Amino acid sequence: MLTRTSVIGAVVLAAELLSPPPAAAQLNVFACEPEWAALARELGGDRIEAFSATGSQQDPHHIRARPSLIAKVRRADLLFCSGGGLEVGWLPLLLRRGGRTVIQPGKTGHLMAIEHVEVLERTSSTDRSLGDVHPEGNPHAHLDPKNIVRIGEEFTRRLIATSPNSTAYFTARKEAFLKGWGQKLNEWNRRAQHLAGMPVIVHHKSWSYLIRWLKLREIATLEAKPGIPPTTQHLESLLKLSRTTPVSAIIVTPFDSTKPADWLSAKSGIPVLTLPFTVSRDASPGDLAKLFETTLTLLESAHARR
Amino acid sequence: MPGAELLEIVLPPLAVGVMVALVHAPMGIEVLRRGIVFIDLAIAQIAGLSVVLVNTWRHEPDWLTTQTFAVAAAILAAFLFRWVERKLPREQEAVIGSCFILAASLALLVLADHPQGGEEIQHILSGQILFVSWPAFFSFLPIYLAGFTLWYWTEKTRTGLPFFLVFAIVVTSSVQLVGVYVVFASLILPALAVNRMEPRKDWKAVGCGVGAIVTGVTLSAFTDQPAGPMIVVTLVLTTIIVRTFGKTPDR
Repeated sequence: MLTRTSVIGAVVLAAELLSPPPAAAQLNVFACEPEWAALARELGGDRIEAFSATGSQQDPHHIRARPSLIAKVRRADLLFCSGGGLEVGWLPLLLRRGGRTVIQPGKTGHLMAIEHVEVLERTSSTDRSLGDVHPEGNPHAHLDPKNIVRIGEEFTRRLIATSPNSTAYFTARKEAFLKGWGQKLNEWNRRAQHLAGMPVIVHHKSWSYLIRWLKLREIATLEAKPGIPPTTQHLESLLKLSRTTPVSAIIVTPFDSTKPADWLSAKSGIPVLTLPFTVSRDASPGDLAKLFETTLTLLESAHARR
Repeated sequence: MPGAELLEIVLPPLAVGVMVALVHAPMGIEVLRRGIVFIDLAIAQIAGLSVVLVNTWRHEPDWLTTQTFAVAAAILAAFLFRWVERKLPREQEAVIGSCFILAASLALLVLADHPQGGEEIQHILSGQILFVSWPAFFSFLPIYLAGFTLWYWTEKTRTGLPFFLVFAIVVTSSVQLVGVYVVFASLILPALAVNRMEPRKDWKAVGCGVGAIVTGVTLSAFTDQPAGPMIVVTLVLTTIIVRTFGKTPDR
């Protein structure tokens, strides 16, 4: 005959087996952009739950408030964003509204990627007549794989500081990730040699880190001033420039307006190349490496065509 | 989302929505009666233009400076529109509409070279009601309390210059809290819904406005959509329902 305690025991066990592991054991990571959510998943494994506030088709400069966004911020243990003013239009409001102490500026849970890399295009000028210039420098730092290493190391430090019990787990994951990444980086660097000097026109200064890594030649930007839609006069001058200077491709992100690039392409014959720029919002481990693979493959085919 | 957390997310926007609806509904009846429905857009845009100008002139002005300039511009607009009402009573809607597009176009011209000013005007115009926090609610509360009290305390508030002044100051605050679309909808739609439902039209309008805004914020929470556009939709639906099924007085 079953005793009462054994029945209860069986029920408790069944409940444990059926329900997912307790949420408290997992750290909640709130990423502003999908690339940081992807990196967090690589390094945090199943001990974190990462969420990205923006998707791959969205310009991270602007987003609209949804109730779930506030809910995610309220539960976050770590905030993982680009920084450098990229999210200035919405993140401060969201942080204030969420009221979560551990992810406020200055806390361990507040990680801004560009504070841990060598920043490009830093300027002391805050003259807004120059356009949407971030005085902190260009914030689009993820497209240099060496930056991924530095930012990933910092993220692991923050993970460990937040959850010291998992030190061994996070350290092992970081080492495994960095080892694999290092091997891929060698292969990418080998492929990059053929791309060096490739002349390109870009829509926005979204690609500066990629361009520096691959040693491409940025001939011009479609936006005369960052963040301000290209003017007709500027496009005309680019058209003139393209007649004297060879250009392999006009590089745009999936969320840039394609009109200026298409206009210039139609007049000059330079192909428009849409590079993925980032991973999907629910990227799984491996997708970050695929982003670099795809970017290289697309650039190689554009380079070969000219 | 757990219930308690959902409440904490939804309560500040709900409080703001109810506060705005309480003051807007009776004002909307007056606006509709005078046939000057574009006046809120015009005043919001003129306040926005002044904020843009401050932003291009001074880097990141503080909250008080921004408010001072926005309210000062709105008051100037109030004087202008009162003057237009007296001089050109039959063409005032045309003048008000033209002021709206002029202010909008001037802002675009000023902003052509200043993208962060663009973010500023975006905030002024589109407002993000879900981002409104309790401190913001309490800092704007005195303006609505004063507007509400004045409106019901003396009939004078509903005529002449006092109307334009109270209206300008309230709209300038509302636009920053909930955005211009919700301001327009919460003024005009409740008034439109109860337009043929004398007597006590203003309280019926308040009921429509508050009901629609509470429904809109609640729906936004359950469907996880931005709250502003959702409120506009629920206000329109409320108006259609009230106009269709509401009791009209016997002729």
